[in-house]
Amino acid sequence: CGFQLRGLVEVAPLLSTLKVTTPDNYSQFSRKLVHSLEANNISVSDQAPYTLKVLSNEQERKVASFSGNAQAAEYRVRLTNKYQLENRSGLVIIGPFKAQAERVFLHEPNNAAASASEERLITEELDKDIIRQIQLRLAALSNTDIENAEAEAEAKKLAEEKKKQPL
Amino acid sequence: GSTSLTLYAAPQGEQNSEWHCLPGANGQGWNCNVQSKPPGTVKRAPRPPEKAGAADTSATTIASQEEPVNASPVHEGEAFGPLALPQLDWVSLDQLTEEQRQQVAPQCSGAYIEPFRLGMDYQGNPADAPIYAEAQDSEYDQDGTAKFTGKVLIRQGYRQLQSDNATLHQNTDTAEFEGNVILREPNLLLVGQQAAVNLQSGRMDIKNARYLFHKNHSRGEATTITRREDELVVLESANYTTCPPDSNAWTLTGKDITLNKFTGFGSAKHATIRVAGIPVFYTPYIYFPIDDRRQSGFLAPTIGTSGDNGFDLTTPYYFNLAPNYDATLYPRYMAERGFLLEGEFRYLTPNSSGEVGGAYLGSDDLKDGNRQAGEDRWYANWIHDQRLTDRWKFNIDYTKASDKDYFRDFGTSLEVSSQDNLNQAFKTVYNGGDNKHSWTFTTAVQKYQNMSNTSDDSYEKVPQFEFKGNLLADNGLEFDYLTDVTYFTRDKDWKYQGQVANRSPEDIENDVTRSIYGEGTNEFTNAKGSRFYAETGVKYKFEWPYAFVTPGLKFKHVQYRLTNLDREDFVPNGPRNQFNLKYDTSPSTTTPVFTLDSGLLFDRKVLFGESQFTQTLEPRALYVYSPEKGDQEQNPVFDTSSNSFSYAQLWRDNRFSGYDRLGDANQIALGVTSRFIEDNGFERFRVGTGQIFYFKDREVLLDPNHFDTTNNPSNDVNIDESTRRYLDDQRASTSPLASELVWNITSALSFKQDWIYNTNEGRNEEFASSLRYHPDYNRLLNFSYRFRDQVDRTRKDENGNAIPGQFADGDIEQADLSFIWPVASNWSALGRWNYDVTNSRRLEAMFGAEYDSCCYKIRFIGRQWIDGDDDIDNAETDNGVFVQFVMKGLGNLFGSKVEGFLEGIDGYREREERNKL
Repeated sequence: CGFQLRGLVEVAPLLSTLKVTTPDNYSQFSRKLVHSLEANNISVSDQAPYTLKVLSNEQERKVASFSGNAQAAEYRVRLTNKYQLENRSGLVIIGPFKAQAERVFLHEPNNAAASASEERLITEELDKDIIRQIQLRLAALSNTDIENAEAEAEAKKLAEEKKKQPL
Repeated sequence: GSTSLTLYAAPQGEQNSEWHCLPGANGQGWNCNVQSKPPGTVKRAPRPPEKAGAADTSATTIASQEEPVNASPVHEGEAFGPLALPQLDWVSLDQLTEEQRQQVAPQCSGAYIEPFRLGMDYQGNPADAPIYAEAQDSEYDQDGTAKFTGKVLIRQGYRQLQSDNATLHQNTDTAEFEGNVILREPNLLLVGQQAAVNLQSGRMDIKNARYLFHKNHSRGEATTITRREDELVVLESANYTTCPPDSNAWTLTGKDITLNKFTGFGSAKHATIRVAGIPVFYTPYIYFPIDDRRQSGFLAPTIGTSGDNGFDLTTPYYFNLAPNYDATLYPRYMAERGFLLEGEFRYLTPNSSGEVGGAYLGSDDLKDGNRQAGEDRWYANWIHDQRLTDRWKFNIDYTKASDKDYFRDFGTSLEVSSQDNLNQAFKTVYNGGDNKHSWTFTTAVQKYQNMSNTSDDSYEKVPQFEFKGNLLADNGLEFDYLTDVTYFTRDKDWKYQGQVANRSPEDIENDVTRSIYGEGTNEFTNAKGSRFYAETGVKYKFEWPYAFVTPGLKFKHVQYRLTNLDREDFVPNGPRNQFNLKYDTSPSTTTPVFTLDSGLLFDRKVLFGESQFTQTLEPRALYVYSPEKGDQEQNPVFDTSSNSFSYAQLWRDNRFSGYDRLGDANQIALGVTSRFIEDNGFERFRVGTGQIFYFKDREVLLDPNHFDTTNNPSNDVNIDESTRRYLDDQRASTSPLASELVWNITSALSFKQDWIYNTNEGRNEEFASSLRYHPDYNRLLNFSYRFRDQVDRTRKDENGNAIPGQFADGDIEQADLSFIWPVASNWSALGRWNYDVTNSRRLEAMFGAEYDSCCYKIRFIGRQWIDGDDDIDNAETDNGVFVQFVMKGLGNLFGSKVEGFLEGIDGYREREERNKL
């Protein structure tokens, strides 16, 4: 039905080296992101022409359902991540994009520590899902996309600067 | 430097003429003589452009040096006199530029815009600036008085005064203005009939005046407005409002209003707040913000009434203490309970952020059904994040409450009142190593306060140490290691045993039930002690663009040092020793886990309408082998449970959440995921489904001691049935079929579904779907339906104790609808409806209307909710009606604690952030 084994998908040469910054560059998330990029033939370096900037990496836990006496029965963990691609001078050329991942798990009122263990496991898995979404976005970019977006962003910036100058 | 004055005035018979004035030799007053003195080093104020041409014709030294200005958007003649200014500086929306329109506050039909005038951008002290004056006619007396008549305009620095007539007294450095007086300063407009001005100090007194602050879009009238030397504006018998010129929806009137532009505060004595002209609130003193800075002041009060609390009024007050810290007080009066004072303090430093909060109610007055009648009620919490170095972090998340019922009684949302354990955690994390070899060292203390009246206390980790690392070798090998050392403990009385009625014969209203807790039933659940867990693994990823194969091998080892074991439980072949265990305070288990993960990746291009997608098909197989280590019966259960089964569980190598059970396995998980990915990499649709096939029964059980799980009356679930299900699951040859689906239909509309179907028993274990429609910040619609099959629970008697042998449906089945939707101009409807299908009743029903205008916002909300309690079968509902009135510009929109019940509407918080002034 038209499915074929995937061929080699090249990363845009402009992104073959990439700088990565996150709210906490030493965090587990940040390291997993770097590992994952490197596994996909993107070498991470501070000298790269473009920066993948993760603006925020938030975790939220809310009650997903209640027991009959209005006590928490299930919790939903939701991770929300905002990221963008910047050029060397810090100009945003693509994004910001939002990546979101969530999952519901059954809460154990009789063993809060066990629920915490499960929540931690789920958070780690959701991190991976977020990284996969970022990865997909980057993989979809071609050199032309990046160059066009950059030219557009530069032009917009120039127009704004002109506007600000007194007449 | 000395003050130089340059006065321009029209001489007799001429349209314009100029004086040149310099300060007197004694530093008092000034000397103005026509063409008598050269300008020298005199600083010049810019001249109005339309006069520039005329000035050039007169042969004066100064005028010729003025820079001609070509364009003037203001025609002072048109905007002259207060009678010609009925709208002050109000500009309606369609007259604004695009840029200005974006600055307009929500729901406003326009904005106050300062018209262009020369000098409006002047920086510095205006007293140092030269004075520029002009008029149609002028007269200069020998006694040092200059009289100007007709279209007088005086400008000094950023300040500008206009009037029909003016008199300047040289000797006293004062001036009087009469008729249609207009004073402008940046962000200030004063309009009156008569004004007295001290040109040296800048003091001004205006009678029967109106005023306007552009940035805060606030305005008002006063019998007298004084702009003092210190630039504070003091109003006598004045009113104040942020409503547009055509509305007086609310006004604040006061005897003595002071507006301080430096602090951004106003204060008023004997203040009355009127809504639609009707006085609604009086205070002898009020302190309120007057610009868009973060300001101290009253937040929106909430007035309500509910069954248990009675009349309920909260009037939060916000303290803006510094740019990086603030505080909010929430004084709350509840007619039935008394006065609760709640507060929170937030702070932010370059390396830390946090929040300290607490509340206190001395002696709870509520008697009827109140377990805490007459007792002090309080809570305290502290959340803190600290960065010690780039790699080293520290955080605190600590909450403690006076009693189990605190949040059920005082929480304003189900979210808050439904929490059954309060976190009390301290944690530091050090992230070491580099990208090739990264490691993390964590130290934590984790305690819980059990807030549930019907469940056990959790074990606490005091403390926990974890060392975890990951090593990438160049050849594709990956090593992981983890060591966790934790000391677990809990109180002797941790086990929920039931409830007892606490009757007092003389006061039948005090008939309440209280929970009883005691020790557990066997040695394992009572055990305390340390646990050492170590895990080390290696894996190698063979990878092609279209496939991967990852074999991995792990060793897991867990070891305990236990105390509090009861020797009677270990009598050989004794009645309490089903497994014939030996007394062992240091049991241990070691097991290897072999995994083989593999997957293929197919794709194709598909076209849906205009859009092209890449559709993928990703079959995956995970084989897990781990031998059974039967020595785990002696391992306690500290922080472990069976994971909730889900699609993600297929791809894990352990079915337990903690380290107390090392699951045996000989199984293969088969699954397939398909995605539709847009050209730009956005995942539009994803569906995955799969199942585990077991080659052997699972021998390692969470609780091997099923002999004691008889139908204990204290247990409020049906133990027999849950045990049967658990054991059947361990013997089944297949797991339930798990699937997940995510569909981002548009950027605003998304749909999610989880479905778990038990193929062995032919029933749904879980079915949940949710729909989220957020086309913009003001329109939110969320709907979810969740079903989880649970064993029947034991029915409870009137005291809340389980009745053995009587069961009720224990499923979780709920529909949850929440929305905020504009229904007419300025009106939005909002609500939440959370329905418990299992027990055929509403958990929460809330419906409200919100009217939002340029200068105020009002909400009426009716709410009915289950009063969270232990007794499911006879749960009580509580009702409340709440009104919130927000006078925009007289305080921030909302405090976080007041409208908590609106937080149940997913997206509400973002909307409020967005709509803030």
